[in-house]
Amino acid sequence: MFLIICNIILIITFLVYLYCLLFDVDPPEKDIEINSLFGAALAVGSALATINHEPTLEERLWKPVKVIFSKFIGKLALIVSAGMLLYYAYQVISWLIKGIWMIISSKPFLLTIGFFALAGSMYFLIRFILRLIEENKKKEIWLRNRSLEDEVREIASIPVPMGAVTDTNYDKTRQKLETFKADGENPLDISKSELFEKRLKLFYDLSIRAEAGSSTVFHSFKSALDESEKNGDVTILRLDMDEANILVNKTLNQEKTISKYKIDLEDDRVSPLYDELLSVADQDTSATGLFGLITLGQATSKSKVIRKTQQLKNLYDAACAEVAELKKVASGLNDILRYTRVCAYRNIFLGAELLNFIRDNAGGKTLKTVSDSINIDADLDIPVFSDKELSVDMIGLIGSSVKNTLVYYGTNKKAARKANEDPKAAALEAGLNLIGDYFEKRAEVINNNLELQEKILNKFPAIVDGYLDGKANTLRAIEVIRAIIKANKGFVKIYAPLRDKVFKEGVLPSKEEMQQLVIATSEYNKISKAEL
Amino acid sequence: MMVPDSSGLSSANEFMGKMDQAMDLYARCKEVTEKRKTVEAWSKVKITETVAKYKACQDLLNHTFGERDKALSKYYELLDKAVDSGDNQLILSALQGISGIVTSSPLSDFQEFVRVWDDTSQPLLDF
Repeated sequence: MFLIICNIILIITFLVYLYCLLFDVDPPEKDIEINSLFGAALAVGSALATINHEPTLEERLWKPVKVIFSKFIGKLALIVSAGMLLYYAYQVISWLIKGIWMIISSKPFLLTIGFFALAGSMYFLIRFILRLIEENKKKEIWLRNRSLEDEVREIASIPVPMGAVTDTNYDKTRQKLETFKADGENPLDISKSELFEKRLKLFYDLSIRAEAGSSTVFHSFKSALDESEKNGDVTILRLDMDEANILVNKTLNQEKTISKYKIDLEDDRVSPLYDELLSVADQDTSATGLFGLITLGQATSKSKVIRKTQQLKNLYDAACAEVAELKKVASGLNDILRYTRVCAYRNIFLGAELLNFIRDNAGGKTLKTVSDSINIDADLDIPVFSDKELSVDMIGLIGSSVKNTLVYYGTNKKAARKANEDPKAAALEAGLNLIGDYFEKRAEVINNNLELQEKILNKFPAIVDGYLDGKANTLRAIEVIRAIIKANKGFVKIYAPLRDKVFKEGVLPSKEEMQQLVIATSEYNKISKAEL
Repeated sequence: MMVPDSSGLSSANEFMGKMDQAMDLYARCKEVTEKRKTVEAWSKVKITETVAKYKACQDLLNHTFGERDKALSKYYELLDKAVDSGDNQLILSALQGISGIVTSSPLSDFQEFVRVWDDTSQPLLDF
């Protein structure tokens, strides 16, 4: 019986709650417990009464009685409701546990779980095995490619950089190597010149392609190789791209480009920026004029602080632009450096090839280029403040202050009445509020500016480090490129006549000439290996 | 005994409230001024340090690369003359001269200078 009553109370409470929620009815008094049946019922009743008519005298008299009554009965109903809810929750949980246990303890369920566990384990195991197989395959391919490179180095007697043989060119390289092997087995079937020509073509196709790295750098070498394949003549492969100009000692295009870069770099546009930075640092931002006089120079001039921030920001942007410009120069120089190094690599091989041809030797197999480039690391980003945060928008501030005042008088009846009685005082108060808002905003803006100044200045050392490091590397790259270009000139001047003698005329050079070629190649090799 | 009326009390409260606000505002302005002075002093030191480092490193770079460039230019001139005249011995001498300079990189010295500059516990001169 007790349970039935409790249930009825609970259902009614719930329905009243629902009504309150659906029709957005608020309780008329804070004291009434809306959580209780009677409290809620009263709330609904009062709300309905408020909608329809003004409260009557009878209602006014009954109200306190209702409140006291609802407080006591409402709390009792709340306790009963909570107890019932707990009871039902307990029942539901018990049913759930029983149901789950019935399912779990049944055979088909256990079998299904077992199946899924087994299938899951199998999936992960197979995935793991496949990954192992894949890694193993990659390793095998890697070893296979390196092994072929060794074979090429040994049999074809050419320098082969690591990574020259790839999955793409493996078959082609293997095929070419087989022809070298066949030539080695039947040396009488091929002339010495033919063997050197084959070697040279493979050197272009395999070694230079790998050393060049990019198609841009390899482009001119590829053109020469294609032309040689088309004509069946390797003479072009032994020619320097600028040979005609070198032999008449004409200034090369590369020399001109490098000189331009050097002149551009020597034009120091950064030092004046730092001189200006020093003068900005010396700027005093304390208030002057009447405001400064009143505050005995203690106050801060907002406009001066804003101007200083702007100047610092402009200088920072200019310094960043210089670093960005240096990065652009470095990028261009990296390409030239790579190309110059590959040219030197090719020419030094040609020097060694000529000596090998004369002496029937196989030197120069360990030849390789230096892999380096200019890297400029400078973190150029600074946190940005919006213009609003860095300056006071007076019109906006007045507008917002007037709006706040109007809202205040519109919502606060007491204040509105007072303003009606004494409009001068109200106007004075509004004016004082505006001044207060202005000073508050002004302090905020100065603070934001100072924070930004700190952030900018904290970034400058990184910019300076990045710029200096980049400049040092760029100057060194220019030095190395120029030296390689010049050394190439000297080398070509010594190599070209000997090459023509040996490969065109079939005449052996003198001992002195050979000595000169050895020294030139060796010095050229040293210069080309100069690192940044 | 005179009992102040409620409107008088309210005005006094409002006045005190305004005074509090004014004091808060004054404190805030003072705080900002103090911060401005601190940032100004700090920024002077920071900028002076940064610019000093830039100038010192820039001078070092100019000096080092300038000296090397002078020496290399002489060898380049020599090489050009030798190429023009076809004097192979002179070409070899020039090449040897160039390789003697170029193979040593000045960057390690420069990086060491920057490292010592940044490490204020170490003297720049060791005598």
